[in-house]
Amino acid sequence: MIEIENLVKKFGRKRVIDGVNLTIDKGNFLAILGPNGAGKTTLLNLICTLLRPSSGSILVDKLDTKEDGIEVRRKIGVLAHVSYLYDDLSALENLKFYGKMYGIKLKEERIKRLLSRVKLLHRMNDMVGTYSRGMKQRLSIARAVVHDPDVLLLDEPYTGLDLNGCEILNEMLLELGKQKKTIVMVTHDVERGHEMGERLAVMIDGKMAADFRKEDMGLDEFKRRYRKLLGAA
Amino acid sequence: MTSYSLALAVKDLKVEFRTLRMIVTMLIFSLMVVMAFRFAFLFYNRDIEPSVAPILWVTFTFAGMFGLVSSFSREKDTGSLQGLMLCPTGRWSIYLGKLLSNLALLLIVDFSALLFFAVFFNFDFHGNILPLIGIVILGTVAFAVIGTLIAALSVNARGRESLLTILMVPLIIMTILLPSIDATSKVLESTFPENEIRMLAMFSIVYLALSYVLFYRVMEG
Repeated sequence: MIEIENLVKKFGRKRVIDGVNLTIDKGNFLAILGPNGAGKTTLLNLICTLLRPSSGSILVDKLDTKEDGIEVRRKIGVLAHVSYLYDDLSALENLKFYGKMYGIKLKEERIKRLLSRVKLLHRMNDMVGTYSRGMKQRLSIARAVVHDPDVLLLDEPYTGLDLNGCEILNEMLLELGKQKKTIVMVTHDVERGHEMGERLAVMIDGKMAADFRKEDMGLDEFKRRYRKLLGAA
Repeated sequence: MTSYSLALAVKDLKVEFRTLRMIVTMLIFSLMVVMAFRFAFLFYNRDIEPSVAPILWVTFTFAGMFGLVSSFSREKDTGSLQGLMLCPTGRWSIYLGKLLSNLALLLIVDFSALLFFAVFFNFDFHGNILPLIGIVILGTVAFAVIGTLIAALSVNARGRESLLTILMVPLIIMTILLPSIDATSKVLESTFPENEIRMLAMFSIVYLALSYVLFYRVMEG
């Protein structure tokens, strides 16, 4: 589903992404872990076309992010720690607006179903500016999947979520996994990454330092190897 | 015009009319400028006739710049500009959406400023109000076309408010401001401003073409 080949991204002279090769199959859940500044968010921004590679290529469902940006974006949903929501619109208006921007005419029923899943149906007509941080993040989950994307990119998605919000996100991710959606989650929370991911990649200094299958190791073993990798860096 | 652009423009205008964040500032600013000129002319007791067009266009220009600054900056500050960039639309659709909403705001402010001028100066535009409206629309379209591009260009900069003015004013003086002032003066003298209309139309097209080429790079940058 996602094929990354010899990917390099430079900011000035600094190689923030330094020759990354990665293949993510359809329906896979990849958790990318790494310390701050490892290039995790930059990698996601390159996949979702917010940034252009300096060299190398990214194919999403055989579409090149450099050439077919519009079609790639149609297939991708992004949930980041920034909500991308408009404070002066209601939850309903926000989802309707994003629906239009994704070229789909959303039926109110579907919007209500989405809002119900993130437990915000009772606040759907309230301005998003009146929401708490956690409520905004829950609404962001609905926004990210409003167009039923094949690929979901998550950048520290648990930031700002309370226990209830985390459970809602976990439930939705499990459900999306069952629907064979491809999910890439960037996090520095090792336990969360291990809990949710089927594959665990470790990124350090813009390079893929390791790529494990969760079934090959438990959390303790993964933590030990992760610490070792960080120590070696 | 794509449905994406229309959706974006409608959203922008809905947010603006709900919050009245920029339009009230722009209207008050244009009212203050007209009042300042009114008092200046009262004090010096000079003939207003030759100064009508410059007063109108200076008012339109500086009130308009207030609105342009916020057209991208609000979304930039809240992070929703990235949300827009993630939508499966060409960057050009985003430009057109922003152009539409800017144009609507600018025209509301310009027509209000015309009204303020008519009231404070007790000026009837010599019965040439319809041709005058035509010139205001044409000049404002040209202003919005280049202003939307400059607003996007300056959104990432520190001190973007001053940067917008610094970039805009030299660009528009010869190409939009002077032809609009000349056209307005001629219309008030009941003369058809053919050359000025041609010039405003030409620069609207030139700036639109420039925006088509540059907007993508500005947004990606």
